[in-house]
Amino acid sequence: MPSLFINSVEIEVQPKENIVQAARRAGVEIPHYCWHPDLSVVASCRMCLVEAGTKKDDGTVAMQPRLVPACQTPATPNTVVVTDSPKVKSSQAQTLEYLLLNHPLDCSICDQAGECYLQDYTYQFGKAESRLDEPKVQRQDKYYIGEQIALFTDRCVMCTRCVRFTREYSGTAELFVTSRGSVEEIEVLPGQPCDNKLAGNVVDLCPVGALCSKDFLYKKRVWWLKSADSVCQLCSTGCSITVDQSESKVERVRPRENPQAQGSFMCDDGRFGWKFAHSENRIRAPRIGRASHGQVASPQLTTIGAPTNAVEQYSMSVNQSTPLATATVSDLTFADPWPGLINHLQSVLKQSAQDHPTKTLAVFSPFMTCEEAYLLADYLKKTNPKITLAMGPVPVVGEDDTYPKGPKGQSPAAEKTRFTIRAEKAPNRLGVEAVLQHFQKSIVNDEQWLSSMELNPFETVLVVGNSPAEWLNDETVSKLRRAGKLIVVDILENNLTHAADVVIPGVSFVEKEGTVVNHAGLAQTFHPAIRCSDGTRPDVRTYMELSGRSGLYHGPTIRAEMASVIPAFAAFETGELGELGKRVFS
Amino acid sequence: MSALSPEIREKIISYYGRYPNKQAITLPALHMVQEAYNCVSREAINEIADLLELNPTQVVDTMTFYGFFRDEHHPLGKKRVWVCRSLSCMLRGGDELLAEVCDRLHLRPGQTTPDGEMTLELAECLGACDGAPCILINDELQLKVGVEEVLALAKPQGGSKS
Ligand code: SF4
Ligand code: SF4
Ligand code: FES
Ligand code: FES
Repeated sequence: MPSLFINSVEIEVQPKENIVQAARRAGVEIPHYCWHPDLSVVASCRMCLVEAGTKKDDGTVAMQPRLVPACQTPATPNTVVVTDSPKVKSSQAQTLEYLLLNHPLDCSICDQAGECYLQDYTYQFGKAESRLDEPKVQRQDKYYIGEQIALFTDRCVMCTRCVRFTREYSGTAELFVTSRGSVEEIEVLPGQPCDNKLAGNVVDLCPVGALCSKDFLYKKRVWWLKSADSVCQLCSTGCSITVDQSESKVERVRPRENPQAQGSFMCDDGRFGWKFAHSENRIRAPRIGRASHGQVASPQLTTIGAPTNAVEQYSMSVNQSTPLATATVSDLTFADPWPGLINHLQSVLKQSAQDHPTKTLAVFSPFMTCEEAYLLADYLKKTNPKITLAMGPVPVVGEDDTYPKGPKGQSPAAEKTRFTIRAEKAPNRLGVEAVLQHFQKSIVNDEQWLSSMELNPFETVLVVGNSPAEWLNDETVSKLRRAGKLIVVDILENNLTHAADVVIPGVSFVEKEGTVVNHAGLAQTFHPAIRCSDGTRPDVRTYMELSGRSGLYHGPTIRAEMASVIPAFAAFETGELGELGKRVFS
Repeated sequence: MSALSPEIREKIISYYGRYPNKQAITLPALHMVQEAYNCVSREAINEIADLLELNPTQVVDTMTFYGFFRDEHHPLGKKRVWVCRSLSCMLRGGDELLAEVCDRLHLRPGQTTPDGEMTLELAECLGACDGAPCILINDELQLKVGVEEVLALAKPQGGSKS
């Protein structure tokens, strides 16, 4: 294999790499601002300058006299790169000194502090002092750049990543550079802010604290954040994401690079699509009996549980929305409602399976994880194989939204498409269908079960919702209401939960572990970022207890079991899908 | 109403094919428009963008790259007079010339007389150091100029070029 040399480390050449990428494989970080693997190369910031030359056949090395931009220089066979010579170091220090000339050095009030490439590179490659005596050029902040985006103009290093992103990736081209030299700035035209659906990515792309997200602005110092690998659930693209939280509150969501899924970016629907997890409208306790909105854990239930411990006392008092400070001991409900609920459900479902198995229906939603669908389907079919398992509606909104757009907003040709926000607004239709296909042998769709609800209603119906937005229309709900007993699992109160006889709280994707299969058959496991909201618990735990499985839920074990039971999930064999997921079916 | 006359539109279109892509016509198009209208207005930018299949921001980006182009809020006067401020001219009194012209016309470099007759500009070396101090009136060079000659240009029909 042909090779090249980075600071005398020999590495193999890989096609289409530049020196920054090759050096990274050799364990050498070449500082860079303007270069980004998904954008065109402009080589304008000069941060990545290195010495480069060629090793000749006779073993001698001819170095080029000038420094070359590593981002623009292909890593070809026999290239010799030096990144730590005095010449390179002095160039790096000078470039940084220049970039910082007019920089306000306001790290103490800058959102980027802690994850800023000006800070990091200055620390690693720069100088401690500035030699500038003149007053710095001061510029106006631009809060108008986008509905979600503010520009702190004087922190900008003019790398133009943001501009190139809007031109090359979103195609919307709202951002541009106005003027040049000491007066150049990033700008938008009046009345044309950067509000496209991919706009939030420019904040992530900005290597410094110039472009900031208004949603996250001044909310949290980044070093207090803890992250979890997750997967966006807002459409069937299934972007890999990182959820950043602090004290069990989600603070922001960022795309996580995954060439198998979406690439490096994500859309703003997903970026802000976690907020329902902290909604006031969360169902925070199980409920039996068709309750008026807001009523929790009915009397039958609360008598079942026994007083347990202080934590539960506290959480129950919160569930009852009785302020703790004013609550007397007799106001507090000491019961854990869950054991009673599980008993109740078990007996209802068992009875129903005995008395009228063919009149027992479970409706699965495309918002369920594969593991949830599997555990529930497995339990129900073991209770009685005649129970019908059906697929709920899969929300589709408009058409697939593809990028980069043309100058008139036109969609790109298929082969030019770089990003797609899918019309199918659910994360796991394919995964849930594969489970249902196995247990039910066919997919009973919503048309089918809805028409039987009309003619010859099911007696007992269990519906899993878990959609972040309203999922079923009122007509569907009223048809479901014809069941003798309607059991609902859901995250938020909605028309369906109001109509239910039993309501079981579910949890959002930021609170649980699970696997979803995207539009292309890529299965990805996401991990919990925060604790379950008070009074709730992961859906899988409910299904495990219902089916009387012992022990705690352990994702890899369940996935390995799925692989042995359902051939379509053979790829789940080891239980682990890795950070980037595995293709299960195409 | 379109901001660009049919002639200019046609001229821009006639440039298609001269360059590897339409974006490369941005600069010639900006020149044509400024020459015809003394400025490049927002509407003109939109129409250029349309003809070249670009987003208007791309045209603005190129336009503001050069100090040469004027938007509709800063249109050029009938004559654009560039006074050289580089070394040779400066040594031969170009500085004083400029200061006096500014003073007498109440203009700063970059500004236009209220009647729109003349725009005063600064130029770097015009390559005519042997004729220092020198100026450029639109595209024409004038050597060894004095204050009165420049002031005359600010008058209607004044100077060598109308
Ligand atoms: S705002 Fe950020 S991304 Fe855009 S040019 Fe400036 S530093 Fe680069
Ligand atoms: S494209 Fe779909 S999966 Fe990706 S961030 Fe947007 S909504 Fe989420
Ligand atoms: S990263 Fe190479 S010049 Fe900017
Ligand atoms: S310095 Fe004025 S023409 Fe050279």
